[in-house]
Amino acid sequence: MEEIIEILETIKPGVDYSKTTNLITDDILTSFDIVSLVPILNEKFSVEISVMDLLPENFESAQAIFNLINKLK
Amino acid sequence: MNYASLEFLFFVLLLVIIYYLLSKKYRWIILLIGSIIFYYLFSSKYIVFIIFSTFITYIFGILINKYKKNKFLLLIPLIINLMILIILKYHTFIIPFLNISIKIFQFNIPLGKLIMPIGISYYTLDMIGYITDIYRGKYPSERNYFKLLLYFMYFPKIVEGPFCRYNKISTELFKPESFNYKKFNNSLLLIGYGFIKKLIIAERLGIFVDSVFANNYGGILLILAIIFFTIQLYADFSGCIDIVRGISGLFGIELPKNFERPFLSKTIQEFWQRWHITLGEWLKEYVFFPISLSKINMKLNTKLRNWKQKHLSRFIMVAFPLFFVWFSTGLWHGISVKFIAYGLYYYLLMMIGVLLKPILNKIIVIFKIDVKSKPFILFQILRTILIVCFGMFIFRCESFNQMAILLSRLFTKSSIDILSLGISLTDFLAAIGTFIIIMILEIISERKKIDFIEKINNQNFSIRLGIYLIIIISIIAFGNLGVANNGFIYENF
Repeated sequence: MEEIIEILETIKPGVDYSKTTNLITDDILTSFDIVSLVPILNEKFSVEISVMDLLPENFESAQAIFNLINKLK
Repeated sequence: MNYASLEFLFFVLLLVIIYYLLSKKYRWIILLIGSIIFYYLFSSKYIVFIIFSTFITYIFGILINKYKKNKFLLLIPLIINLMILIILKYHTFIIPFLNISIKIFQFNIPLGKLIMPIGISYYTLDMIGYITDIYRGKYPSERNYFKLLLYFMYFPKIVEGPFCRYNKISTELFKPESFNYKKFNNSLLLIGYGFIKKLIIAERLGIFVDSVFANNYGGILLILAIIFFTIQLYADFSGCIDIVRGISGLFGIELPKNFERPFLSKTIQEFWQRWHITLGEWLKEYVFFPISLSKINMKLNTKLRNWKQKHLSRFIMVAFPLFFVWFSTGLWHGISVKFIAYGLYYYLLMMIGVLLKPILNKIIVIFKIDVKSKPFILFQILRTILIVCFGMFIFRCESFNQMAILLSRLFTKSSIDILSLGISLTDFLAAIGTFIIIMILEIISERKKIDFIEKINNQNFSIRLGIYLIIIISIIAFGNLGVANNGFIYENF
């Protein structure tokens, strides 16, 4: 989980990722950010996030991303 | 018959009466019959294309559902539907191009008179979206061919959209709710709002714009024509969407928004999130994301990630898929140099914005610019409007050649009287005045998060009646009512 927060901070700093639960709904993470985030997550956690996983609910919070990675592992 | 005609309103009235008289179970059938009649009146025999394309999409939807993740089954309907679109929409470009290529064989393909079926660019994209969603397992395929036909042919959205996903609309289409008085009233107001935009603003300003562009006038006339065309296109397209969303709402079926106060955007990126929203979402879902996560882009990303220039590597990552998005946007409007240039114009601007972002952020810090201050926000909005106006200029020119001629005349003096171009002072004032009122309402709505349609409908009956009367009288008094057969600009795409 902490690793995910660290990665998110490199993509878009200045957000409290441990508390924020509406990253997509509030446009904190844009589609550009998601496209930059996915390859890093793929490499770091040895998963393959496909276009089918690019659902807003999978990226709303650090916890949601954590759950997605666990699901794909 | 088009959305702004009286015949169409009578047609809708008749459908609404029958719709609510029928049992809920059979209501979708009357919508299907209405959609078939509407489509046939528009496209006559060309209705076979949508019937055929739906059949292909229907069959392969079921097969994909059965044989999960079979790429071959996905590709067949995509190729067939795209080929039909390409042949019917782009044949005037493709056939002469082919004739030049095969000239050495002394063979010539006749150009023929193919007519583009109405809404083909819209329903083909909806079909691609539907079949891709089935492949991605987002929802199961529709088992009833006629229900799928209604989804693609649904008459309020077939001419100019908005694009909407099958799972978002299917419940309301096939399991309708009871008559909702409030929703019905909201829909009527939305229709009235759309007619005001179309008949008072778009049709009035269109006369002036057409005249300036037809005669290649320069100077102040051209500058005014570019601004007025930007307003005209917004009033025409968003007005049409208001009308179709309102009409659909009369049946209790909510279509997605396509515009969200675009002239209040601070950046170009934001503008495209507020203008033709459903096309943008479609391109993001079915072009941007698949190309971004394609193997080529992923490999590129792996190589670039080791660079020290993090920002530059991120820029390249986004630049590759975005090129296809903007190229597709241009191509979707038509296969001509000006439409491709229109798409690539925004691509270039957006890429410059992404590239220069760190430098701009530094400038903001150095000069201690308060990015939340009103003057700075106003500057950003005006800058965006200026960029959009130039984009609209590219869009409006007939050719690249005309663009060059007009640009060379942009700063010349014009001796022609503005009021000699077919539009009177009263028409001007009515159009511009109405646009200003709409902009004021949009600013209030943006700042206070108010939905004016809802707000009006929460008033008592006499106030509501007064507002209805104002809308009707304004349209009769100031609207260009003789334009029912002109249609809407975006129905040509």
